[in-house]
Amino acid sequence: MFGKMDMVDFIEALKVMGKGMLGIFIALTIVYLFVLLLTKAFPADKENADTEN
Amino acid sequence: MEFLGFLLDGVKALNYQQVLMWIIGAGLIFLAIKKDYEPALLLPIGFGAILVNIPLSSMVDQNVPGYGVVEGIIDFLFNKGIATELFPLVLFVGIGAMIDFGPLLSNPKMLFFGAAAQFGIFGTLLLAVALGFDLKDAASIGIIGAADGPTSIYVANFFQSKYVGPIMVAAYSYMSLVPIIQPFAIKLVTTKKERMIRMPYKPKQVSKTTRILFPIGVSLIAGLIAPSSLSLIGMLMFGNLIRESGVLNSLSKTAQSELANLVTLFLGITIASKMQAADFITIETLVIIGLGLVAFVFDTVFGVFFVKFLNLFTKNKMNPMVGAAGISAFPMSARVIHKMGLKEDPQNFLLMHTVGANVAGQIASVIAGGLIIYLIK
Repeated sequence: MFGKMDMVDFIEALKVMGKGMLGIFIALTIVYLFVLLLTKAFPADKENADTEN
Repeated sequence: MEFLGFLLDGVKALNYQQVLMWIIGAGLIFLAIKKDYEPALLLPIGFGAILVNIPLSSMVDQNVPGYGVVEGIIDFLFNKGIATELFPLVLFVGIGAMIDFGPLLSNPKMLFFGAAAQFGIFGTLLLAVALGFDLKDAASIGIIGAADGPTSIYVANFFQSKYVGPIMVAAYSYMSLVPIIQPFAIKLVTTKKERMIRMPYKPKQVSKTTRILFPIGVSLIAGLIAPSSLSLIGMLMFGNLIRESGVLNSLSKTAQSELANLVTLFLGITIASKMQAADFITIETLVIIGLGLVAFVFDTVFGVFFVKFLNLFTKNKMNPMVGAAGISAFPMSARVIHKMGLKEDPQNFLLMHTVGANVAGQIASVIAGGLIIYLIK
């Protein structure tokens, strides 16, 4: 109910905050490594490349 | 004249809260038409807010004597389109088809900027709990910080929050106010010298195979790490795969235009289902609108601080403003920050960096939405 803080919820929210931010960084680190792998494994060539300008 | 009294039933049932909702609806229509703030959504939401607050409105469910509950079209659309998550998920196909991940693939470091700028979600969640909202409602409010309408709808609806109406209005209003909120927040935490830092852009070629494998790989990664984010990220990446495949150009164009437009059309007016005066005119609504602003400011400030932190360890300094583009409001945030850079230094072209961070924010916000659903039981 709005208006009175529940300490149990607050501690749980802190945990969600920590795990959530950590989870996003871990997930995107894996995506980052995946992109590095993709760009190494499939480098752009003249036939099917698309230059970003 | 008494026999004509039935014509006054609507007038007699009118209360001041409903009139206030008409004014709010008119205000949203004004912002959409005169200020061009997210007109595709604020206009239908505004008009819907008027329609559902006309006493005995047949747009929403009504208990009609002799007939029982008669379903209104807006409540019907809500039950079929939002309660089932259909509209936000289908909209993601269109959004995925619109996004060019090229700038991100050629500079994948921007992914981390997208991650950092999600802090607003969790910071606001904490603040909402501190203000006394229960955890699920606080999470639904925090997700306004995703700066992503469909994700906000998806999460708030998943938690069956009674605040879906105010959350939607806050999410879309602040997305349209990014050109005002972000420059203000960025200037609060950066110096002119920092805003003038140049970041040369070295264009890199991205192969078609990379572009095709990217949406498939991201779906697999997100699905394995945060399974609850898969319906969001899967639909987003499905739209992107259609775009990048090169063999479904007609479907890609349809997803980007007709499909996205059609869903947006119904989404806006359907949100009004949760804008009936009795539920909307509350102190909580005002608090949620305030928390939404805090969420956007947190996103922006934390994105800036993240780049400043990285600059402590790097030789080639990055412009901290680019970190603020890691929010999901695409492409508005990228353009706004690019323009800020040009204003400080007419030769400072940040656009490709900001676009990279901005599309990274799109992926990060969806994963954040999935993680919140997974973490809050």
